[in-house]
Amino acid sequence: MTAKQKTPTIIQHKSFPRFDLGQRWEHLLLILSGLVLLLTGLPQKYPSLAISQDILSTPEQVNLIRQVHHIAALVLTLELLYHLGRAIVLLVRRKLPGDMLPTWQDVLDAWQMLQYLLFLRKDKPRFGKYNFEQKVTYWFLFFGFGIMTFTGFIIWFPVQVTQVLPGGVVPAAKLAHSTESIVAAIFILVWHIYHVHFERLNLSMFTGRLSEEEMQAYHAKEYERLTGKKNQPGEKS
Amino acid sequence: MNETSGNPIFVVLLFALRCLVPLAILFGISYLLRKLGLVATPPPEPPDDADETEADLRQNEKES
Repeated sequence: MTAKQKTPTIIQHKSFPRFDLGQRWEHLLLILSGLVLLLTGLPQKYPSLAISQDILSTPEQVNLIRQVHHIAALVLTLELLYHLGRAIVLLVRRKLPGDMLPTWQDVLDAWQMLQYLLFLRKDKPRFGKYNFEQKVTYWFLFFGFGIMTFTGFIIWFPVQVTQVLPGGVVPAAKLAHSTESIVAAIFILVWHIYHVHFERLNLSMFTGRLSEEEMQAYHAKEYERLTGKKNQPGEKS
Repeated sequence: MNETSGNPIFVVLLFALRCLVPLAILFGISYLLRKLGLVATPPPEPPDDADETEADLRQNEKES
């Protein structure tokens, strides 16, 4: 190689760890089980629709759809138990990260974001590891799936449940279960899909990492905490 | 009894409470966990690769 020949420039892109392998598996299980539950639950909620009539045309098919729904429900329940169990173990060991817990700062961030969207403020608020939108997503689905799991088992085992609780809990659970599922589906389609696909394509839940540019743009406070560097003026925040 | 539940002000109040009460509980739990020191605050971590600027490289060359 002559002295005039230039060595190729290697550009290294920094990335920051965001989700570990366990969290990514949990998310994948949540997507798969949730999708199966929705697709097998909708025909049961709306049996008079033509498509539901096709799917539930024979008693065998009704039975099959229910069995698939129950298997997916068990997968989701195990996933939720693992998630809760892991959180409890980490809490006992004083190792539970507090990033997802809501704080007063999230209320201020939401207010500032509203002002930004109404053109009353020039720049967006700067966020930490999780912004208020992500916390809303997590806690909405946390309680939503909790309600659906609890009421789902009441509907699944009505005889056993009504030996302990009054009979009125079964129709109440049925209403809460199916209504909450519709609300959760709309929430995911509108809120979650918008934030991770349309606002920007955020695949960190699958890759486990966020690039330096994304960290600077969307999680400026966390970026500063990790690197000790301030965001340069003019950079997105 | 039906008149009370049909009152729109009462319905709006119930709806607001239905949103605010769980939120207040969640904030309360969050506050207590932090106050009692039950959640961990992770220490700053460096990014996954070295952060060498041109100035650092020149300094290293001089030193060597």
